[in-house]
Order: sequence, then C-alpha cells, then structure tokens
Amino acid sequence: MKAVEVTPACQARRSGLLLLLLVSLLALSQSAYLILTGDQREPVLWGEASLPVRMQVWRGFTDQLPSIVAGSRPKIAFEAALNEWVGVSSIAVSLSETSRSLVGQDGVNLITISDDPTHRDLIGENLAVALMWTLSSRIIEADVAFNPSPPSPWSTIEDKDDLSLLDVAVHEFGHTLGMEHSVARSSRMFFQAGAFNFGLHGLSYDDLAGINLLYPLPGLDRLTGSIAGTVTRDGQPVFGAFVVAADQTGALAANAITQRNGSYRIDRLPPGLYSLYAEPLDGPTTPLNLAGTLVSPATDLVTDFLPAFHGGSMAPTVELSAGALRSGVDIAVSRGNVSVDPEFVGVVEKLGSGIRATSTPASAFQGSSPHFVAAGKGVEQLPEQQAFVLLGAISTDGNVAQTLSNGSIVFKLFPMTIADDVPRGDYSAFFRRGAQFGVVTGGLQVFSPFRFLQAFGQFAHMPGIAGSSAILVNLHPELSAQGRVTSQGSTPGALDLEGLPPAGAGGAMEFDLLPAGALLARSRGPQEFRGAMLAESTRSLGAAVLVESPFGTTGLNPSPPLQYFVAPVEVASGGQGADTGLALANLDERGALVYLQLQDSAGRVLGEAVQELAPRAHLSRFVREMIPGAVPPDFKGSVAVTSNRALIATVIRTSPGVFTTLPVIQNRVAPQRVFPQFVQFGPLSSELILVNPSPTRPATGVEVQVRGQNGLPAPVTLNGTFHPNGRLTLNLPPLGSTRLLSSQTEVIGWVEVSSQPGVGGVLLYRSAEVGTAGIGAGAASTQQVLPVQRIASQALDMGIAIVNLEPGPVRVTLQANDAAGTPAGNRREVVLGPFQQLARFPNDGELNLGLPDDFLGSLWLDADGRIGVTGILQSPGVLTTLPTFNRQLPIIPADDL
Amino acid sequence: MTAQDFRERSSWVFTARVVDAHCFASDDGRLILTRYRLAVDTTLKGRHQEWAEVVEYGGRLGDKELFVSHGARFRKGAEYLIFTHRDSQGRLRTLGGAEGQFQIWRDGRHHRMLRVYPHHPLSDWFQTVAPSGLVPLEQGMQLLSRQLERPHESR
Repeated sequence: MKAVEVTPACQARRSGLLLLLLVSLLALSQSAYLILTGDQREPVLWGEASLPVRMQVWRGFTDQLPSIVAGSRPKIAFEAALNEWVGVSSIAVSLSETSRSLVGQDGVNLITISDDPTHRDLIGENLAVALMWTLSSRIIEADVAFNPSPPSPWSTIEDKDDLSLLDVAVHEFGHTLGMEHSVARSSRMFFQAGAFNFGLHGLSYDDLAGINLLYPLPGLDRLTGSIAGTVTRDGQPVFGAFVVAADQTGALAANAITQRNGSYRIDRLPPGLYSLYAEPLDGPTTPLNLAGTLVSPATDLVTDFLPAFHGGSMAPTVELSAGALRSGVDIAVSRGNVSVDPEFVGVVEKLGSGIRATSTPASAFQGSSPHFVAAGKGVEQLPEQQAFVLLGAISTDGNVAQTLSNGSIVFKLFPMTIADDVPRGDYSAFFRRGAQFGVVTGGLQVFSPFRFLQAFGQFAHMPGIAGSSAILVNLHPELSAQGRVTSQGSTPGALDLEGLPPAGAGGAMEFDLLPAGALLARSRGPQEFRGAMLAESTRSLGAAVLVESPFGTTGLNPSPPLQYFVAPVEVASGGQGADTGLALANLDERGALVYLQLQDSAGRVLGEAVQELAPRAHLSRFVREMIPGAVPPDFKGSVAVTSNRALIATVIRTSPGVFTTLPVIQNRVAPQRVFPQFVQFGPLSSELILVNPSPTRPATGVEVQVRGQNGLPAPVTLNGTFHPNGRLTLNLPPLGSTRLLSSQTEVIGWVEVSSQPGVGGVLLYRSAEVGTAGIGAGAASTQQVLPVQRIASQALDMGIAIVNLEPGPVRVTLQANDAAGTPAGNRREVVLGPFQQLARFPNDGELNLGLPDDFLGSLWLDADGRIGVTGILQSPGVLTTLPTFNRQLPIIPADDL
Repeated sequence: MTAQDFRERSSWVFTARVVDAHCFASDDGRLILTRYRLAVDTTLKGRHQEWAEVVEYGGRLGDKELFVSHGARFRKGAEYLIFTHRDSQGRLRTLGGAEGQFQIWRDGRHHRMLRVYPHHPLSDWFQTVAPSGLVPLEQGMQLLSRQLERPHESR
C-alpha cells in the first residue's frame, strides 16, 4: 500500500513540497468479485476442517518493541480488527497467543512482527504481508507478518504521524479470510487503504458484500439482490472492466470486475434504485494489485475505453428487489483513453485554509459545506463551469471555486453541500470535460461529525408512569468533548431531557463535557416518547441508560451498530408469563430490511420473517409478534437477526411485575466472557443464559467456571445438579442455547465462560424482593470506567464488583471524578489475589472511596492485570446493573481530529 | 515505493523473457518460493548478464499453493521490464514487489509496448508519451535510461 500526499506551493513552503508516505499492503489471487478465486474461478475460503480459524499472536508482539509506540495494545487492536469481519459474517475465528514468532506452514495461524531476516526479505517495502496456504481452493493456514522496521512507528494510540495497527490489521485479516483487493478507494480492502485512520473507517458495503459471499449471514440473500450484465465496446466484450453500483443517494454499494466474456455480476445489494458505470482498470488499482489468475498477468485486459453509465444516464434507473436477480444491465463503452483521472483528492473546509490531497479518499462530514480538492492527471484542463459532478444526495454547482498549483501539479477546488440526511458512506467524484468524464471511485467518504456513538435501543418517557435517564461520561482524561443526543422513535422530536438544552434542528440536544466529566440527562415533559436514544461525541464516550417503570428500574448496555446478532428468547404461557421482545432502531438514512430466524435451544429453526424498518425508524415488539405463529406458548431458545443496514438492538424481557433489558449477543473472537457478579444467597439467585452466535459452527468444550469471592472454584447447583468444583463443560450446536439456573448451594462470587471461538451470554440476577437485573458479559481489560450515581434521599447507591482475571495478584487503582471531571473522594489502591472478587459499595470496607452522599460522576479503574467490572445500582425496590466502559477501545485520540 | 526509491535502490534493471518458473520449498520446508529464470534482453542499469534468476515468495508445490501478498509474479513466456535488488540472502528480488514489474505487450501491429499505469510511482517519467498507458518500448527505455542516468547496454 502506498499513500501519497501532495500540497500546493503555498503550503509546500511550510510543510514540504512532496510528502511521500510508504505504506504497502498486499495483493493475492485475483477475483472478478473482490474475493480470492482459484484456477477454476471458485472462491478460495477456509475449509470446514480448518474452522474455527485459530489466529495466534506472537507473545513478543508488545509495546516493548522499538517499532511500537509505548502504551499501545496490539492484541486488543487485533481482536477489534478480527471482530470487524467476524461481526458481519458467519466465519468463526478465535484469537490466542503463541510463543512462535516465525512465519511458515506449521499449523499455527501466526500474527508476528519478529525481526528476522526471512521476514525482512519477505516483507520488503510493505507494511505487512499475509501468507495463505491453500489446498484445493481451501485455505488451510494463514500468517500475517508486520514490518519490524516500518517507515513510521506502529501504534494503537491515535497520532497522525504513526501507523495504525488496527487499520492495517483489518486489511490483512480481510486477506487471510479470502478477500481480494477492492478497486474502490473507500474500501478497507483497497490496496492503499488508509493506515493512519485509527479506526475512523468501518468496513465499506463493498467489504460486507465480499465477506458475505464467502461466509454468508443467515437470511442475507432474502434482504439483498443481484445485478448482472455485460460490458461491451463496439459490440465486443470488455475483459477486466470495473463495474460500480451506486444507490439512489449516490452512495456506493458494491463492485465487480468483468470476466473474459464481458459479463459481471454484483451480489448482496440492498433493494432500491441503482446507477451503474464501468471504468477501466488503469489505476490506482491495476491488475498488478490483483495478482491472480483472471486479470493478472492477463495480457488481453481492455483498459483503453472511456467510463460510461448503463443507459448513458447518471440517474439511478435500475430497480432491484430483495432476493431478485436483475440481469441484462449492460454497459456500452467507447474506445479511448480518459483525459481526466485525478490521482489526488482532498477536502478543505474553507477556501484559503490549508489544502492537501492524497491518494486515499477525502473525508467530509454530514451537515457541512466544504470544497472538494482534485489534483493530478487532466485537472488543469477541466473547464471552469460544470466540471465536477456528484451523484444523488450531495449537491454541487460543479464550478471551479479556486485553482492552485505547486508548480507541477494543479489543484482545483469545487464547492459541495452535504446535508444532515446524506447517508454516511462512500461516494464517487466525477469530472466532466466535454463529452467525456473521469471518475475517482470511492474518492469521498461522508461521516457523522461526531465520531463516537453510544446508542440504546430502548428509551421511554410516559408521564406519570415511566421515565428514562442517561449518564454520559467523557472518557478522555485531558480533552473536552462536544456531542449531541438525538432520538428515534414514536414521536419525532418529542424527547425532552432535563440536564440538556432544548432540542435544536433535527431534534438534537447538544452537550459539552469537561475532560473526564459526566452529566445526567433525565426525560421530562408532557409528551410521551418510546424509542431509541443516541449519544454522539467528538471524544470516546461512555454512556448508560436507566429506564424506570412501575415494574422496576432497568439499566441498559449500549448497543454497537449491528448487522447480525442473536437474542435469547423466553416465552411462558403464550406471553402471559415470561415474554421477550426486541427493540430495534435503524441507524441508516435509508430503509432497512431485517431477517429474523427463531430457533430452539438445540438450534432447530422454527420460523423466520422479514421486517421492514424505515430510515431512522424504531421498532419495539414481542418476538412472537415479529415471527407470527412460530413461537410455541412455552419456549426457550433464541432469535438470530440479520439486517442489510446497521441497527441498534436491545432485548426486552417481561414477566408479571418484572421489566428487564438484556444486551444482544454478537459473533466475536473473544474467548473469555466474564460476569463479575454471580449470587445464590437468600432471596437472590442467578440464571446464566449462553448462546452460540455462530450460524454454522458448533461450540464445543464450552467451560463454565463459578468462583467464590476468594477466587477459588465454588461449589454450585445449576439446573438442580450439584457441581462440587463449580465447573461444567458443555457443547452448543450452531445457534444453540442453554440456561443454567442456580439453586440451593450458596454462592457469592462470579462466573467466567471460556470457549474457542467465543459463545455469548447474559446473566439474569434475580431478587424475589427487588426484581431482576440483566448483566451482559463484561470486558476483560486493564482500564475501565464505571458511571456512578448516589442519591441519599432515595437511599440509592452503586455497588461495584471487581474481579481479578489473572492467576496472580493484581493491583487496582481507583479514582472517582465528579461531573466536572475533578477528582473526588479518596484515591484508593486495592490488591486482589488470584481470581478474587471484591464487591462493595463505594464508601464501604476496603474501597472507602469517601464519596459524597449525593454524587454524580465516574469511577476510573487502572489495573496492572486484566479485571472485570460491573456496577450494581440498588435502592429500595430497585436492583439493576450498569455497564462499564473499556478505555482501551475505542482508541482515544491524542489530539483534535 | 517512490520514483526516487526505484532510482536509488535498484541494482539491476533489465528487460527479459521468462523461460522457466520452478517452485521449491525453503530449507526448513515451511515456505514455498518460485525461482524464475529469465533471458535478459537489455540492461538499463547494472552489469549486463545473459541470464537472470529472480526469486519470489509464493508458488505451488503439488496441490499446495502459497499466496503471498503484494509479491511479484511472472508468467512463463511473457516479457517484462524488471527493477531488481539483492535481498539479505543475496537473492535477486523484484524491487517493490508487483510495482517493480512492467509487462511488455505487443500491440495490434506487433510493436512491443510497455504498460505503465497512470498512478504508478514511475508514471511521471513517461507522462509526455503515455497518455494511453502504453509506451513504445524503445522510447520507454530511452526515457528510463535518462532517469536512471546511465546509457543502456544490450546483448
């Protein structure tokens, strides 16, 4: 991968004329559809016998190496990078450590940075390389080697001068799963994909389409369709044309490369209207970057033709339905060589401010009016009027607003207006010169101005009956955060929150948070609201929501954007007893289709349904209503949910007098799930629900270990069976689930669940007196933040459960910060023995944090080993849990974006 | 890789035809490599030799294949312009992986043409003559020689 940056002369005097950043990734076997293919054009993917893919990180891959910035956490970055692919497909991957450091076929799928002569020779000038051994088109082993002497240091702490381990790992892991380079600049599989983004860009739709061809999610074929056709020139097939589909908003969907007979097929497209164009494969991606059997090193590839649209029109005219194949979408191109093909693009907020253009995509925000910068081939010849064209939702007059030069390269700037409702995504920039046009596919990426999102699928205000509150915490200890709270739900704009200013345009309530500061926002007013709540921020944000109803108070875990998840379902007496619902919100500016598949605890499919969700809409229903007729009157199992757009989701569990929310379960690589509180004592009991989220792979050898507060295995009775060592091992079929209910034997402690790959779970923590709390699996990390609320008049306090996950002692430093981010109470240090748990109220016993009786803020925990933490909010009649926030991810920016 | 890297770090730049490709296992048997034997036509930089052996990681042994990202791969019988350097084990390698290889094509009139993609780091060297991306080989060699600051030497 090679990213090149240029600046006009006026800046060059300050910053250097030409900054060349050497960043190389890789190329593999070719494909017509951005996946690897074998000799017979069959997809190259992991074979059943090799699953789950067991990736192993060399133990020496730490921030102690000279090429890695101190404080970086490579293994966490790798887990996050793998989760990008695992979370949106059915591939099963695990991640562990190994003492091996050298690449080579040895049965270990290695991730290494070992400084070895073979590695240096192998990597050359690249940042990293992936190696894949295949047998009969099945991957049997894969290694990834990072450059031990990169041109800039590796880091997981955002800094513009460092290389992002996370971003390069996402690209490399894409290859190890069978993904080929994408031709679109905005794709994570673009061969020059940004190595300096620090997680800013998620997977593009093109990446999603590719990985789902290899490892499909259940039901996705019912939510998407295919477009096929032929590209011809003078009636003859064009081999190696790059065909791009853009939806009616102008956002790119997916791409393909034509085969030798000129045909192409683009799969996994959401239903809607599309425009399609073909362009030559003449750079920046060329056949050299697609080093396989179809287009490279083919000699009859056709590249001397002009880009052209299907039907000769830029307007979206191809209508596609879900589940359909729309064929005959042909594109006729004419012979010639395009005269306008800018190599460098950029965005400048204001004319006169600093300009730079790079070979990677330009980034702009929703709700902004910046200028698009183009530089390179043919730009100097563009006319002053109507030279720049964007499809769909982004408006431009197309006229040149400014021309600059650094002597050899001409820069032209064009105005754009990107409204708030322009979908986040990737766009192509077109340049018109006379009758012909040039295109930079995926040259513009549109983001929310707020990078960090904490979203909650359920937020309700019913005057006099129910209300909700949110605690927001700025997780940056040194920099302020700006943000906004918006809602999606029953009555647009109806949500009014005490503690925040009145809603402005679009229903947004803006907030500022001091470094490490916190705020409480509580629903109020006469208008009823049921829906979802979104808190967005310029800084890494922690957020927790409490929903109060006559049936008790429940704490909500935030939901990440999801395209696939599984939720445990329980129904009793046709819903008269226990019942389960889903609260879903479509995060996209376009409509979503949602596939739901119900299965029993053995994974047997009992029913399925497809739901529509309008743009930015919210839906909250019982599962038995969503999949009519499928749910037996008494049922325990799960529902798998696939969407063609990003959703947020919360599980709602009801029973007479009880209202609880549970987090959903994602496909993840994490091998260990921790529930820091497990109790069977007096009126308190616990129910552990485990679900295998993989639709294809059984989870075998799942180990459940219950431990007491002293860290030792604790005898426990689960489902009526006594386990003297607190341990049981079980197997779960694909999408299978199990419920382990405690009884009889007294236990106060915690539980961990280990499996490769990870099964998901939730813990129901029940009290006969004060209700039920649902706890999601906690993150195992060394830096965590917990929201804290204490209200003396309501006798409300927050219990804290901390678990040492290490086999040796761990030292934990605790420091509370008040709402202004100022240290409050006593800074404390506690030492936990191996696997010990400490559960206390803040001012009690060993904790003795000395917090005021009325307090709003956060508790920051720093440990020298991995810990698990949960908060337990208690007052008369209230028992609920609050999530902790992992400060290791998302990676905290070191300075302004 | 930048144009400057290609200029400074290349030890031997030549045109050649691939006459043989032989895959073999590394000494420890854990990697597959391919040794390409090339009949050298013209040398633009470095000492001219009649034959070159370029070794690249990746290849196929029996049913087993090793893909290595960003590596150069050559097709038997095809002609290339190649920038090479010696790696730490003294093996001749393609400089910059796939970026260091340029295929030589024959156009409809059987003229030998050099394929230079517009976004390639060396495309500026050919810009005046290659709006189409295809440069007549002889002309391209002269431009390259000028950039490499050394007259080229033919067999």
